[in-house]
Amino acid sequence: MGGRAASAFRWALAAAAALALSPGRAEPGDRDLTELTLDELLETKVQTVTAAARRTQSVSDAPSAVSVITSDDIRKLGYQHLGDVLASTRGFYTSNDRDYTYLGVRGFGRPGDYNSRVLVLVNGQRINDNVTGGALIGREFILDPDLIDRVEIVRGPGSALYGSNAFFAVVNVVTRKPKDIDGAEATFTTASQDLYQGRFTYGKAFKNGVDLLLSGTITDHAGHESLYFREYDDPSTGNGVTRNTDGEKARSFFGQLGWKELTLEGGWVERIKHVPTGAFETVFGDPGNETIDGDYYTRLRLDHEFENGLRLEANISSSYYYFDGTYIYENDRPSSLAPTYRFVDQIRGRWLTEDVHVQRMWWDRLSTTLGLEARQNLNQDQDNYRDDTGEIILNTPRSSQTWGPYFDSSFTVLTNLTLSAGVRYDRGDFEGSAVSPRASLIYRPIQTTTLKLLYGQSFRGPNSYERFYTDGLTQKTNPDLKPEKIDTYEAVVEQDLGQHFKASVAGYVYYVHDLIDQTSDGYFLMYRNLDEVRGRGLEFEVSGHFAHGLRGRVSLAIQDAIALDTHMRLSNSPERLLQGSLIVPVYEEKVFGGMDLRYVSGRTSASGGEAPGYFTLNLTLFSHRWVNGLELSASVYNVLDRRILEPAPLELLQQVIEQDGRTFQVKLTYKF
Amino acid sequence: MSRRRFVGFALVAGCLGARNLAGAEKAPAPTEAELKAALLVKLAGFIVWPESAFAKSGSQFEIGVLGTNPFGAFLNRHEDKKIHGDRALKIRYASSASELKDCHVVFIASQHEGALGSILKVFEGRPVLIVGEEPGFAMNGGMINLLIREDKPYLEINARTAELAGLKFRGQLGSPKSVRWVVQPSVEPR
Repeated sequence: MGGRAASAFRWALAAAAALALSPGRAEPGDRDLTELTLDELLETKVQTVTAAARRTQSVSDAPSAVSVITSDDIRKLGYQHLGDVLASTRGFYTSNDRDYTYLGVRGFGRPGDYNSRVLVLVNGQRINDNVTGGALIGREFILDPDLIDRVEIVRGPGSALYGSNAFFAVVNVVTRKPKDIDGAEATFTTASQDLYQGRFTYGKAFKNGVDLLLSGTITDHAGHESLYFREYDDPSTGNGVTRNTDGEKARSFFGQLGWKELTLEGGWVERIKHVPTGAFETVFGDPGNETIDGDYYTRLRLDHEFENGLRLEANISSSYYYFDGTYIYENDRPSSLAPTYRFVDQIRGRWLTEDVHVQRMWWDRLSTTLGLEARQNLNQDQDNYRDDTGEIILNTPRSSQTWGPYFDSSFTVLTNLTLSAGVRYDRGDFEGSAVSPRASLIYRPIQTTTLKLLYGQSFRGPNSYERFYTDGLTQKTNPDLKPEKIDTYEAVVEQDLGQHFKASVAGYVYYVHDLIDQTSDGYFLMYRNLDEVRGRGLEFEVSGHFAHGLRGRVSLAIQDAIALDTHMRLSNSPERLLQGSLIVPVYEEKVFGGMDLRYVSGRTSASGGEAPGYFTLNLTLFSHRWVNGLELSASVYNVLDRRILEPAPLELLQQVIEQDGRTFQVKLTYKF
Repeated sequence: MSRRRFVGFALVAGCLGARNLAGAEKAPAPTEAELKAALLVKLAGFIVWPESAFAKSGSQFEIGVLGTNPFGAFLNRHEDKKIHGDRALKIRYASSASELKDCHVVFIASQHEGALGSILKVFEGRPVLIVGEEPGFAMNGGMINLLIREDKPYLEINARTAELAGLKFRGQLGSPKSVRWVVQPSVEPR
């Protein structure tokens, strides 16, 4: 660890260990709920998930294999953004090309896919944009991780409820409630490579019934002072060294205003990232290469329960996504004096969404959900042009509409046997039509054992970017793309092992038809419908929860995703994933140690490069309740300073991208 | 330490001068088993037993669980607590109803042997609070049905069967949002 990093880390360690003043509160392992009044007990919520069936239910009743990561995990394990949370979850992995974070699920992570096969929601609001279908999950995610109450990860196809993009999983990020904040919070974070981040949050549930939450975060990250890429190791390209081209700045805001059954909510993020890799054949080392991503939504929700038990939820939202890419190229015009020119890429996506669904319980046994979602894509515009000449290469203003009615039901046949089924019909101007069914059986032979048999079919329509994008230099259009579909079959066994442990085993197989994949003919990139893909795997997980906040989990995923025509493993598809975390009380219940470890086995990149398997260990020391309202944490990532190479997408000359070595972060939060 | 880092930490540390409300640490939500165990113990405080119910047990208050234990170890945590004055709480587990005849509360797990009717017959005329967790339990002769509806507990109460067993309700047992009286008590609980 460098001198400055070691100094800051020792400072934080000393502060956390030395200042232990106020008595701690009981951690969940040894709390006594009978100390609450009966009214308070009747208002206590049990552990639940909402994304699996679009209604609140316990994790074991959900017709899917579900994981829930809580805000306590995020703080004590030092997760820095949503991508970090997902990379620690069974069956998920990420890669980063020094611009975006890409998600792989169950052995499937295609180059050129901006996470369009996982549906990401914030409080049920779709975040995937309407041009690339992608969801940003790194520091460019719309929500500061400190605002997260829990992340619900619902594996398997979800199109029967949510339509397109819910291909491999649905990830629902649930925010903290104003009453949970009950005041103000100020956070300052500093980390390696000159990262500084400040957050201020105010949240309150007022006596007149109004709930308010306002939060803003600013991030300034200088990035690496220099990066070396051997592919550019030539005197004409600075011998492969690029300096001060890894910087990143981001600003985000989140607000929520609630009154009785109405909630008005909105989020905004803008992130500017300098691109150091020479992506898309740009001038290597030029600080002008940068991408700007912005995301914004506002939503009004009504949640009403009628006296007969019918529950109505209605949402109307307005969303906006914008992208500005500035790429520096060598000037190919002999008449020009400037050695380079700016190529500007723009995306503007604007859409309105209306969703209404009703839920009802019949005879205490049958739960039904009936809904309709409609989306007007007002803009799905892609443009690009040369800045020096004004030459327009691409100008495709587009708009479209989609709509989809859906129905879902769950029937308790016996007290220990539940059958669920659902279907959704989607119709879109681009996507054509698709029917997405799903069915599940949940059986509890004994109280401590749950068996789930699951089937689902999902689809993903070709998005505007895949069909219509061209820059005249590196990528061509393909307007004839068809939707891709997936059939998934899964069996899950969940077992309580005594008071403290829970284990699960899941086996699955999926078939992807008409996979939309990015290919290269040596000159141009293009998206095509390729052949069938089959993926299958086994996932094991054991978790334990003890008194005083001691808890941990470990999971192993063995997966095999191949192209059926060649029987060759897909690129960016690791055979093994080992993930584990452990949170240990170090000093009473005021100081905790968190350990997060991951192993990802070797992968090939889309261009044939080899990214060897790697093991990484992250440690966090977290303290609270030593001074009232104060939280301090210090984290070291990649403690063993392992060399990590991750597969690069096709638009890079590099086949693999080296990730950060050992880095640190210190975070101080005061609640008042 | 760089100036920017120092200023950042100083800004946050400066907030220490402000009045602080010791921001509430939100504990993770309990499991269904933990919450139901607490409710079972808590509900005992809202029932009045006749003195004859304590003739054999002396200084103990007994809760019995019939069938496969759904509480894990959560119910055991409450053992030796004082219920109804100085009576220490004891927990018993059994697979047949007759073994629990002398308990003050019997919880019939959803995983139990034998029909509900024949189980209830064993406790007929005895001052035993019968609690269940199956749909329709209170309508079919049970006294309190402990359910979880969406994410919160919900009680269904048949006051008539409780009164026939010599039990009375006291105090306010929750609001209509969380309690449904399948059969109302003949006397309003105080």
